[in-house]
Amino acid sequence: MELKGSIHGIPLILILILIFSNIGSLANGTIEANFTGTWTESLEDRDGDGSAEALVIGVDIDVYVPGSYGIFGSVNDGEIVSNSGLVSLGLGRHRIDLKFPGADIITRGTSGQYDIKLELYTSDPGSNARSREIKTKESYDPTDFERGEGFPGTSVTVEGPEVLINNPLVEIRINTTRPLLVFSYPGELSKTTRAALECISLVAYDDQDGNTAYDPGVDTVKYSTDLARDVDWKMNLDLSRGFRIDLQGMAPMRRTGSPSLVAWASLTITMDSTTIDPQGSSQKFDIDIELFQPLDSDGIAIVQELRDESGGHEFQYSESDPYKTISLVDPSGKVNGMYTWVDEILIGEASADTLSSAKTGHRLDEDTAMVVFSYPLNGDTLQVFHDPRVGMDPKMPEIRGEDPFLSNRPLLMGAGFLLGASLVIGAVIITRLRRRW
Amino acid sequence: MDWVETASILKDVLVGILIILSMALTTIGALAWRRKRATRLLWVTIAFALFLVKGVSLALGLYVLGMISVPRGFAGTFDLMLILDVLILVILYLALFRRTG
Repeated sequence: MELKGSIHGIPLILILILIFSNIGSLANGTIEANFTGTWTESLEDRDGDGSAEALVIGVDIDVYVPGSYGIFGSVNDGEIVSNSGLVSLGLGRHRIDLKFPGADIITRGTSGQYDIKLELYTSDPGSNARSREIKTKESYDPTDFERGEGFPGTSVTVEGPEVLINNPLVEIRINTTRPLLVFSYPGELSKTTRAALECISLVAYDDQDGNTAYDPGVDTVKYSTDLARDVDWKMNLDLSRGFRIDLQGMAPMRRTGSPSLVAWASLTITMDSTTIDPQGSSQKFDIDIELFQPLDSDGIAIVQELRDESGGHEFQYSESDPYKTISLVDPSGKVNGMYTWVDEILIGEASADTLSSAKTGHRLDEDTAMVVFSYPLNGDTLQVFHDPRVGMDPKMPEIRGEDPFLSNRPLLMGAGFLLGASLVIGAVIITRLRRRW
Repeated sequence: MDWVETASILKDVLVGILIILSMALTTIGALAWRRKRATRLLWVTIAFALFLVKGVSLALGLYVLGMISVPRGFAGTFDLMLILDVLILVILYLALFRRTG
């Protein structure tokens, strides 16, 4: 076979179809997938005892561009939420199941039909989520449900001086000898999303500026303790039903100016499997302070430090009543991690059973954020209870749902076309030059 | 970038090269067959056309229809198969331009 004359008629149109059929999907605003408008609802009763562990909503979507898609659902304006995680889908109609845990419906659910807001999102954080609101066809009641044992996919392991809670979307390491929590995405993403929250000191203070909050440098410190240096921490780990982790320390609060005068307080930080966020992306933890004697102070405060351990994040503070949040924002503007709390606390003498309000303050620096929780001491207050939350962005692929397949980049195939074409044309040119010589 | 990611990129480029080379060889084969009407040339052209079908099917399956997914654990083998295909085509293509003898 010999090449004679130039090559004509190569069906370039085929190449163009292949390239342009995918370029469209790269543009913002292109419909890549959408809700079909149909869904199913059912109760999941794994143990067959008549009480459901979850409400399952099967949402149908049409996929126009193959890719990774997930659905985020929230019942009653975010009271109960669920996230499917990202799943790899080809063209056509698919059903994605959302499971709303029974434990959350028992705690925050109401009786009747549920209004559910659905958001369809992709693996591209820049793409706009499509949303749709539905109302369940059936009525449900919290008594229809029971608490499952822990969130599926959660594991707890002891690794050296740390206890590791591994949820589908967040990994939390709890130091057994310091009040230090390190949280990140699970798996490889943990290298770029790691943050640490450490309780630095416990301070009893007199309020000087009348705002009831502890303002370092302004208010008078009457008793204080360094929670890392002065406290002997002990951890209790109970894995008999889900998990429960208690990190407890006896804090010697030394009187300012008279260090031999010590007031004792017990500080306990607790995490358990009933307070994992439904989609497994965040974990609530309890702060319990027990004073062994009334303190002649206006309030008691925990000074904490939030650190960006992966680097490159910026701290941002936001409020969305009643939640207050310090977010870790990466250079692209995406929120990776967050520390969230409400001011509502419980206080009391024998037990923390009276509703009260904490005052919280913060100072944001480049790599660290100082967070101060100030709790009022009303004369006979001996117990304080507060429950903030650490977590990661829930709209991320679950570690167990990581795409097991190679990613596809059609534009790179275009680069292959160019390389191949260069080879073909180069050979033709060289042959012609040879003939001419 | 880990090696799987590199293999993923290589896969996309190789699919492009495979399509162009097989398309060129098929076209040349078809032109030669049209000129000489030799049965041997027809069979060779069909063989090249099958390479083209393979490349286009891969591209359609991977990028348009989403029917083909390459498992991460198969990345190296998949690339190796594509590299061998491309090498076979490159050698055949270059052989066309060799002077006789």
